Amino acid sequence: MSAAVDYFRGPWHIAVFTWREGIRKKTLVGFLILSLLVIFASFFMSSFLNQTTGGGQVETEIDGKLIKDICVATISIFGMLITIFISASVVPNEVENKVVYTVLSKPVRRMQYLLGKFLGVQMIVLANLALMTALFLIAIYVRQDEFPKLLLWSALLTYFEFLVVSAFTFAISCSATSAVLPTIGGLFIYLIGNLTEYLKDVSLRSDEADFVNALIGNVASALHKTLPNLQKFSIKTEILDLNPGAPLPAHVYEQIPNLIIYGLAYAVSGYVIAYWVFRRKEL
Amino acid sequence: MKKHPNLTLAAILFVAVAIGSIQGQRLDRLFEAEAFLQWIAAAGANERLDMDETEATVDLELYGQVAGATETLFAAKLPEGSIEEGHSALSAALETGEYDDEIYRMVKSDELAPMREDFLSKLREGELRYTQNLSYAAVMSGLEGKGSVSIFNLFFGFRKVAANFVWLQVDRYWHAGLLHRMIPLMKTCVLLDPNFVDAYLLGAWHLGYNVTANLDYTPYPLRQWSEKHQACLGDQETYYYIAVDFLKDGIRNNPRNYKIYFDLGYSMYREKLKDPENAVKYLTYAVRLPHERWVPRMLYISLEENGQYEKALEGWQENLKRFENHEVSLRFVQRLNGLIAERKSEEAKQAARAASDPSEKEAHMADYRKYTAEAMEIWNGMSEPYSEARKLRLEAIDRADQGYYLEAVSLLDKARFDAGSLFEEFSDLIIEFKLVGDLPLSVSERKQMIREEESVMCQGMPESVRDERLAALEAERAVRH
Amino acid sequence: MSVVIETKGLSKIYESSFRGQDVYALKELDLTVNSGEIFAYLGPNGSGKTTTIKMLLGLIFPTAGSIEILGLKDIASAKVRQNIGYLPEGAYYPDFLRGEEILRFYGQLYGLSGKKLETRISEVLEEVGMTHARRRMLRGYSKGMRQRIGLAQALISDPQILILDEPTTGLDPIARKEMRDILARLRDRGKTLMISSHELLEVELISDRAGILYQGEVQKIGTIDELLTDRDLTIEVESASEEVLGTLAEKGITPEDKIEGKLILRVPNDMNSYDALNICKEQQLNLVAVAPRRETLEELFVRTVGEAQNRSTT
Repeated sequence: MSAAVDYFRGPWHIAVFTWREGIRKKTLVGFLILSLLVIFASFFMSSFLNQTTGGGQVETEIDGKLIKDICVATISIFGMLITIFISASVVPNEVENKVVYTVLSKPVRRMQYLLGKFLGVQMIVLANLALMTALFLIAIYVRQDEFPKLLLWSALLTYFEFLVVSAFTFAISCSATSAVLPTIGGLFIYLIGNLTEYLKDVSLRSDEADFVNALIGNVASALHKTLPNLQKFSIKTEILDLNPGAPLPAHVYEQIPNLIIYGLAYAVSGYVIAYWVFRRKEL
Repeated sequence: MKKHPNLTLAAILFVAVAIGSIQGQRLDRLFEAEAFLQWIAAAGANERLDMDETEATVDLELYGQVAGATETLFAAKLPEGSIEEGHSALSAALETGEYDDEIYRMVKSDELAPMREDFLSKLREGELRYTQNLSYAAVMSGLEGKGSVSIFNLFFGFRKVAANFVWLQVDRYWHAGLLHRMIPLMKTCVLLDPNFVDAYLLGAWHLGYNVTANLDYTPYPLRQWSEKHQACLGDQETYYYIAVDFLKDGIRNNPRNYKIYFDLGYSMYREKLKDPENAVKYLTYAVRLPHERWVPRMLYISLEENGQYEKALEGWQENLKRFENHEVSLRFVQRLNGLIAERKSEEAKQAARAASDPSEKEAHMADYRKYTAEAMEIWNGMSEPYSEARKLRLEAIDRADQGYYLEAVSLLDKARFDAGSLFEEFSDLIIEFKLVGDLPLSVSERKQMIREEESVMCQGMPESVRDERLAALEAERAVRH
Repeated sequence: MSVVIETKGLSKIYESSFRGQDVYALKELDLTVNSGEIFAYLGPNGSGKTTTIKMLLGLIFPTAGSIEILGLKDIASAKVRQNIGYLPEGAYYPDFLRGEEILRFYGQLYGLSGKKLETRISEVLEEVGMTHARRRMLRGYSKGMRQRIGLAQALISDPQILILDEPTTGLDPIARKEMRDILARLRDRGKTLMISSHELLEVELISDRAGILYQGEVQKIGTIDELLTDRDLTIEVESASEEVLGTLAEKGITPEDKIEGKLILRVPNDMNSYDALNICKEQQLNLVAVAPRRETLEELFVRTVGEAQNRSTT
């Protein structure tokens, strides 16, 4: 037990260090401010709706819907950008400024170092998500005067989506020397993760009779089965349409833990790749 | 790990990806089950409300199978009397959230596996219609149809945001007066977000109230028969029914939201289509769902208009129990009591006329006098334009019975202007008295007669329907004579 | 005196990915560092100093050969790591932290905590003379202060071995002197120091042994005394004609420099001093001064590198 505690002590200190450094990053703070601006702006978005439309009640409800949808999208997009930026930069930056030399020359294994870094990234991502969600909660609470607990479920699923992208971006960053490439890579992972579904279309369209065509189809089908599909997390927006007063419906209740396992499995995959790359990396 | 680090890492990676992949497939199965569930919810709402019996034949057939397979299960569970005549137990069980867990269990069960497979293959072939409300999750598990580009994917899961912006454009078109451009965009909007309830409500309101505001009345011979709606559609009606279909889509996609039922029942059927029967139907369902407190009152009013006085009375009394000394409820309770008495007196009079035996006739006449007095007493107990007008009506009937038709007509004429809500009812009665008393009809009354006669035929109306309507009209006229 | 760092046949080859030849960053290096000494690891830029150090720390991995530190082959083991302090060249330390905070972070990585850690922080700060700045943010530090806090982080676990990469580069003379004093003090306290540098003057003043690296190969290695065996005699005379100089050159005495009309002659170290003076007397030269001269490390370095260059070109 104490051996395990000892093993994780180093990673923990590195995580805290990463966190303290990360929250001071200018890009991150910039994105955060931008996302807060959008959340704030969504308050006024409804002014595009002319006041004469509909009865007063319907209008305020469209208002509420607008705020809800825009805020969830904002959290997703800016949260994702923050996640990608932070995951892509923590390791390359330390290699660049040589802090990694001082840390790895201490009794810290590379596994522990990566674990600490990854943990630190997750702390930053979670803190961002929590901050944005909190503001969003307040925004809705002010408007609708009811506590939107469904949003918390939505935020939870959003986090696991971030986690998958974060792990794979982190893996790229471990093989890179600067943060630029992994950042672009992270954006690609997000794009590809959202387009995985099209691979199924490719496999469905392939012609069995033609060898090359069938091969492409089979490859697409195999990729579709193995690559993470971020669209699976889209129930995060669906959840908000449920009745906030009622308990979660059985099917959503079953999907949430399964999605979490799904996200964790791919996060572990990403992390293993990261370690694999970093294990014998020449620094 | 120490000896073969690469091998160990490869093994861990393989296991992790395998878990992810298996979990992905598992989620796909869950999403498929959810899609099936959502489709059942839509088809169930459709069956419960008898909304669409002609167009979605594939859906109806498949739903019939599912409902058949689960009939005994839910029939045993549901309280007695909750299943309506000719409807399945499944659609009754779907109405409120009470049996949701059970329905979901059933949807995933092996028992329904063949139907689920059938559903999925039909969905992929694009044969089903009630699939608009399937979640992205369901849609992305390859259910969108073979090889079609999924609009859901296009928006990266943010189609709801897209729906909002489409709605902003609808709103802009409305203010620019480009009404015809609104309709396709409204449909796009709810396609993007089938749970955008306010889009259904506002869209239908635009169609039913704003788009049609400047359209002229269409004479029946110029109207077109609609098989789907069993009605003759003129310019205005065409839009009313677009709105009705739009709201019905909304109900199928959001069967638990009372607002759409309410708007369909009250704003469309009651206000625009003058169809109290359907108004009562949809408002009844609205009231069964969680609703605002004013919703039942609209149901009671529609019940009264549909002639279901007793049910309306029950409702108002219920309302009175909940909100003590609620003035409106009190007035309606009195009013309905008066109406029930009036109807009883009317029935007694008809019975007396039909009776051949003098003693029996006399008994009916006694009833008639008793109920008339009762009604009179109730109207005397109230003092408002409505009750005054009802009193004048009773008086007028009394005059007419004695042969003083002109006097009766003049009393009714005064009454219909005193209480505006009774204008149509009393105008009809005036025509009836004039016809019976052989008094000359005014121009507008003549016009109304012509319209009534016209209404039995429009372009494309099938013979059987025309005959039916003609017979109904003649029967009504016969009563007047 | 025991050996604390020993490498045998240590090589590092960077494979050229595109048709070229493989690059030897280090060629079969045999190196020993003894306990309690300051070992100067010298070489021009790109000679393989940093490569060696990184391999000692496990940051990069050798292509061939072995490393033993404190008698252990597993240089990533906790025992070795506990006993190595490393100051990388030009490292950046997060400047939003205070001096003591950064030391606390590194101390925690060694498993230090609580009171023990706090006393240790005070000690190392004292040691590097930074007690006055312990609560100041790093962004307010001068370059010398940063270098000293860097040294402090290397010292935090009180390691036996210190590996310092260019510790005095970029510092002003006073800061250099202070750094030098600190390093000498550490040696006196029994630490083993391995200093890579090309600031030869600094190194010469404090180091016990030195190794000169060029193109991945050790050219010379030994104690400073062993290395700087060249003891010359210089004779300063007023002036000499070409003819005289020719005669002197025949005997082995060569002019080395001309300063303000005076000529400095260099006597080869195998020639007896008296003989040299006699030759000058024969030529009737006016003696100004006679002085012994020991070769500096810098001269040795330049000479060694020059020789190596010549070897590789011929």
